[in-house]
Amino acid sequence: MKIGFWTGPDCKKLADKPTDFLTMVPSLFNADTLGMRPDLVGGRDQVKSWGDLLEPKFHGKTALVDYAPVGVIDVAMALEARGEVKYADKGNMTKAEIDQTIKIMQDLKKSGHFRAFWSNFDQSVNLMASGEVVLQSMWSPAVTAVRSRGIDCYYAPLKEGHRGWTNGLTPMAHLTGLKMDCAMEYLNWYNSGWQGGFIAKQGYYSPVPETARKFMTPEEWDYWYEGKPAAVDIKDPYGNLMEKKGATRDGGSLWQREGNVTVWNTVMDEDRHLTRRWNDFISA
Amino acid sequence: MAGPQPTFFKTGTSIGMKLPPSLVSWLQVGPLAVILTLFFGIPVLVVIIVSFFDFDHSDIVPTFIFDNYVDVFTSDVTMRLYLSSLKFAAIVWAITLVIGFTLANYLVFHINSLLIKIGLFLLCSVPFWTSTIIRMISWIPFLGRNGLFNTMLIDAHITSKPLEFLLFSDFAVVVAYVHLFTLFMMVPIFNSMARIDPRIIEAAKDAGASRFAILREIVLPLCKSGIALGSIFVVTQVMGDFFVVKVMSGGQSASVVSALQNEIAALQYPPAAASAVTLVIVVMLMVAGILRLVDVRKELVS
Repeated sequence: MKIGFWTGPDCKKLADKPTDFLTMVPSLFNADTLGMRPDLVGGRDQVKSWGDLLEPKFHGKTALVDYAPVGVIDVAMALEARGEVKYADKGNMTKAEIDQTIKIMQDLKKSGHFRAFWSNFDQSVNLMASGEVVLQSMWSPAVTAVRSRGIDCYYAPLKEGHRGWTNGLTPMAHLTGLKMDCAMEYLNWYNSGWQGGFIAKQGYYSPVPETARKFMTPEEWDYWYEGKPAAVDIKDPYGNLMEKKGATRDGGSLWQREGNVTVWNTVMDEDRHLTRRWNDFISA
Repeated sequence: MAGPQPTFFKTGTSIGMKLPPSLVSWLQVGPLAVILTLFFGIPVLVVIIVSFFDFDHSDIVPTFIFDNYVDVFTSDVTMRLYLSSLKFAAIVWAITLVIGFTLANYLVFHINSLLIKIGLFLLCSVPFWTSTIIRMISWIPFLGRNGLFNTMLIDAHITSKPLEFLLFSDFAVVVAYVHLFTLFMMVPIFNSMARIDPRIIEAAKDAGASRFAILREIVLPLCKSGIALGSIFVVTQVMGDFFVVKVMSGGQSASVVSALQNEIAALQYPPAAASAVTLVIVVMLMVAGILRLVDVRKELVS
């Protein structure tokens, strides 16, 4: 809500209540958690808490995304779960909290706790599929991509809750006339259903679920949005088998998953400090 | 071709019209100058300008501040990043030099048939028939924990546990760099070695010089410009790389450019521009240093 609206048309101030000026048109959102290889860690019930990310038994077999605003929060979730650090707001850390977290991360990195830091989708899929890593930061479509290769991969619902995020699209300020109309038409198309139906099969949610529903089978809707057991085999958007009949989605329905978000990803106030300290961490 | 012998390259006389020599020079440098100005000069200028700008979460704010440079020069991360990049550059330079020199030496002095010589030379370029990215990424399944090499070692009972340092480590980064860049070192050395008059070597042999003495006293000094050119190729590529470091170290190691790329990913263009300008100056100084030691021009005009 705090970042949803501007106070006026050419304004750079965020409004604290709904106005006529959206900062962006929401395009997709999800509640993230950690991805794991149940076959390599001894079962789906072996990872229950974010704290397991720092568990010594996974030493050398964990990975983080090489992107400060997510990597640091994933570790912060783990540290708080283990009772090692207490944060006022993990989604908007103070300089001191960032420094404290990075310090612990550097020690972990030097000890070899992390196998890798991935910087793109394919890398996260391959790390998991090859077994180099058994527990890591992961996006939902990467989990479905590993599963579509016939390798068991689980987006583990963790007891502390999910890390929530949303993306949006917005036209550039210099657009006028026809170009602006085209941009608006594209935004309308974007949320008209086809796109929402496609990304739903990778585990993302559309901000207008009712339109996405038209591009999904009732069984797919029940599995992805309602958290019900799959009535038929579930396919990924490219038609590959993703999940067998009878399985349920991690964390349950849209309301259960999004209702269980503990931390939201936003650009932190100490954004610049965060990037600098992340470079510090990676070069340590 | 019938008719009179073409003498086109004799400045401005043969085509029947006379151009003043100064104009001819301008016409000759013109196309390259235009391309360099448009696609190199102006972009670099923009980067330099942006490096003095301020920024906030989503905007670049045109002003004139030194903060970005102050950050670069007062942060101890900068020092660590440069040490990391320089370390890779030094190791890769040394290894590619030894391999490149040895290969060139073998091809030039130990293969007598010109056909085989050309054949082997082409063989060295085979890896370049595919893209850099594929050449690099192919190492991952080979070196991984459950990769070919580890499986081989375990099956042959050489080790009992997979060697973890093979992938996602500095070792993996160096392997990929050497694989990618050795040819850039070898070709210029080959080129200058091929110009050495074989009679000089014959004479040295007749005078009783050992093979090692010939290598040290004749071949090495006469290859200096080739080595310098190869070194420039290898060192600048390693200093400017972020992709190999990121992928092969699994993000465990950093380079100057990988840190810069993190800043770009966070939409922090002005500090990234300041890092870029600093790097360009450092690399230019390194190239200037190499050129000071060796007069490469000798190679290019002779």
